[in-house]
Amino acid sequence: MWRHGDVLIATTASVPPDARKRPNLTLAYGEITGHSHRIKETGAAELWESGGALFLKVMNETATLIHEEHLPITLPRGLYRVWRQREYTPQQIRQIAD
Amino acid sequence: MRFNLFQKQAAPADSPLPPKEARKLILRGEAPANLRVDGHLNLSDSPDLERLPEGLTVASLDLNGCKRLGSLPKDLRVRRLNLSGCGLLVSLPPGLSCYELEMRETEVRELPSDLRVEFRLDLSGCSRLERLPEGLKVGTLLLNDCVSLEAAPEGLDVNFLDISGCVALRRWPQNGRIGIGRLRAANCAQINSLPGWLTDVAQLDVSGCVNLAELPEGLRVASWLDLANSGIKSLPASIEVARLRWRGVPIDERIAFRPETITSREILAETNAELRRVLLERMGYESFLNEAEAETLDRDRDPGGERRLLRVPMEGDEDLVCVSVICPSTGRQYIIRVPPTMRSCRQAVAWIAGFDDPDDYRPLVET
Repeated sequence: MWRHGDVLIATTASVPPDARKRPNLTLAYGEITGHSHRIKETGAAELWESGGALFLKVMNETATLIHEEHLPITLPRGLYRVWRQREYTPQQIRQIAD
Repeated sequence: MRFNLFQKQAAPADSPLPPKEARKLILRGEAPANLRVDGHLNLSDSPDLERLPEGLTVASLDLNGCKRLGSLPKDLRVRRLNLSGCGLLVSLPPGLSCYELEMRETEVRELPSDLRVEFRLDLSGCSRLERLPEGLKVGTLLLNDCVSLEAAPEGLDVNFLDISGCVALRRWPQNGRIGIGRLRAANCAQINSLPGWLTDVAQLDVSGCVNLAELPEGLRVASWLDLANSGIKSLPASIEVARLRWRGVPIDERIAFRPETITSREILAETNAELRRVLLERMGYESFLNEAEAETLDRDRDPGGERRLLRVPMEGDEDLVCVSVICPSTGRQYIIRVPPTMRSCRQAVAWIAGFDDPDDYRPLVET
């Protein structure tokens, strides 16, 4: 499991069959800064979405996860589940972003 | 634009089929060309449906979730059309004209320039949509979470517009019209202005538009303006706004623009739980926890530095429990609210990461 700011990544066995490919490699956008958590190398990976959950397929030997304020993380080839950290509110749980 | 499809076209010789019968024929692949169907034809979630008969005429057609449908017939005539979730559909036929068109979460990249939709066009969640036709005119246009859309089309003419979550959208047309209705633009982080031609609107939601600092001169908002977490720090005299909201909660100008005047005593005395939560957010958890002399439930260390779990009892509401952590990359302190049942920093940090059992949370790398 990797933590990149408020984005968490863990290996997974498969991508759900109903997943839809996302048009870019942006894992998460910052709510306040406009910064983003994204894969640096175009074509190194694919991002898929199913029911609000994100899945990253790294096809090259490695892919680099970058953000303006966080150190890069190198992810080896494989399948990953991606999610945001959460914050508690009495009415609901909402995702938070830096 | 008037919808007069059925009045103008010459009626085919055969009389219309009932929807059930038509459905059977279409799913068997035996439907003839120029089939006319009476009423509502429900073909939703038909996993094997790949195409429709040429010249199909139907008042209402539901194709929701037909994942293998790759195209529509060129001369389809329909008044209400639902194409949501048709994952293979990347374009619409030219000349399509309908009253209502719903195509949520499809792979469409652009729409034909001659598309006509009179009442409502729902493109929510079309994450590949890159452009819309010039002069698009429709009563209600829903574009929320169209994350690839960078510009609204020239000559846009709508009464209700929802662009919430269009995170790449940054350009407005030179000319356009949003009638006296609603503009929802929540979380459009790239937007730094609203168009100068926007003069009257009933409801305006710019919450989360962090780069939007000003509203157009002379703008009148008849009902409410939601400006939570936007860049708007004041309202000039030329702008008329009936009421302010903070993520749906009615607030006054002091809460919106002078949060430094909010005190912990005022927050603890506020009986309306929703308003109290807004006051708390405006004051900031850190200031409130300091001023209200929060109790430290636990403290330890992680790669970023010291972590603390803090609690303030709230009369008539759940305790406010927050964990204070330091980001190992930026050195910034973050105070994040957690469920009031948390008893240790480790438990709270695991919960934030999505784990109810702290033993399940073991990150290899944290940056």
